[in-house]
Amino acid sequence: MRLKRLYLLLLIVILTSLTTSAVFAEEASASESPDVSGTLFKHVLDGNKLELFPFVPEITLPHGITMHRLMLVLSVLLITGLYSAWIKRGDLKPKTRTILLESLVIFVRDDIVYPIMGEERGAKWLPFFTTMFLFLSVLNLLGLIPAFKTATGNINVTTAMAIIVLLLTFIAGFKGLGFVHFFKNLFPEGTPLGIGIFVMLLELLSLFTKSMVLSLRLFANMFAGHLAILSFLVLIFVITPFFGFISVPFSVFTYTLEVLVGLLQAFVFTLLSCIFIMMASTPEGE
Amino acid sequence: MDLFTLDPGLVIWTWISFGILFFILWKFVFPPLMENLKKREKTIAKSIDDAAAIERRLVEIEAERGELLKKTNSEADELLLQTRSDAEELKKRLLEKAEKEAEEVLVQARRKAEAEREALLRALQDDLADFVCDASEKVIGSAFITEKEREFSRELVKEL
Repeated sequence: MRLKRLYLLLLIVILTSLTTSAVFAEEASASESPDVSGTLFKHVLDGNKLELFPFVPEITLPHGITMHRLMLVLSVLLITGLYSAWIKRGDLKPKTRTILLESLVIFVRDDIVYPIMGEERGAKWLPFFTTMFLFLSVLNLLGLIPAFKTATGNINVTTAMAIIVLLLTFIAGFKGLGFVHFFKNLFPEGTPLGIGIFVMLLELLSLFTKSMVLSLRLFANMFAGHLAILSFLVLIFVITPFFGFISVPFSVFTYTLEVLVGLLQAFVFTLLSCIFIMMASTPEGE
Repeated sequence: MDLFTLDPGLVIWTWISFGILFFILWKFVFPPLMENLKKREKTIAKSIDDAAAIERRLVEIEAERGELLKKTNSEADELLLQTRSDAEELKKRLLEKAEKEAEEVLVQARRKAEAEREALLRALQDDLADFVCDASEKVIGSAFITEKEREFSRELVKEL
């Protein structure tokens, strides 16, 4: 009952503030036309300005540091900090926070790596894929915090991750099958030589395209998701300030969806990387 | 900054960040974490096995208890029956013995009574003979009856 009253109060506060800001905004925007694309991309693209709060002066980052680079460092610090602080050796009665961190590793182990690679081989690859899942999840979700940006909404970051997967696909393939057999594996058995070479080239090309698709998928999802949230908000400036009554709830909904998408995309990236590496290092027909 | 601007610096930053994160997790976080998980999984598996073993043993004990109870009951019944039959036999034997003893006592008593009666009768005959002799002496007025005649009169009384 008390919670219900609190929600009602919160709704009234939001509506009042929306109405007030809309009235003020309408008076102010009468003279100037808004720079929609500038506003949108300013929040999504990389830059060296850190805007902590509206009306507070922006912080210019030191030379060579951009927001996306800062997010990369922050994610590394966050993950290592949390895992180092909460994972203790010989902890047989873990607290909820430790279980939460461990459950992420168990999720990668039991739902991605072991079902695809098997237990023996998967155990060796588990740290790599767990790192990839955690790194991408945190990068995806960091962008949802106000004042922060999504580094995975930058194609350079996702491409860098895809290049790692591509290189590992080749390394695992050469190591698992041998240099000659790796290429022989791409050649379909029982086909004429000409067609076989053509298919082999296509297969080789597909290794590159698959990795690049990984990169593009993650980039597009993250970029578009954040752009969707902002687009709803920008409509307030484009149409009328009173459009906030529609666009703010929509924006909140998209924001909630983005949390799911952020985790889902990290999962998809890790899962597909695992499949590609496994496929390249396993003889055909197995 | 454009959407698709190539930024080699950021690519290298990504690689370095990912490399550092992977190294730290692989070197310092994973060994204790995996060890904990393995230990915990082993403990849980052992606990489940133990619980199953305890449950199995409990069922066995329950069955053993039932069997033991059944056996004890049947043994007790048997013992009771045996005791009852033993008691019956003992009672019968004692009764027989008592009867026999009573009969013996009766026979003995009868024999004794007979002997006493005989003795009494003999004494009575002697007394009667003596009395007759004494009376005859008194009638005649002299002691004419000799010891031999007295014995004769006793034999005579006995024949009566």
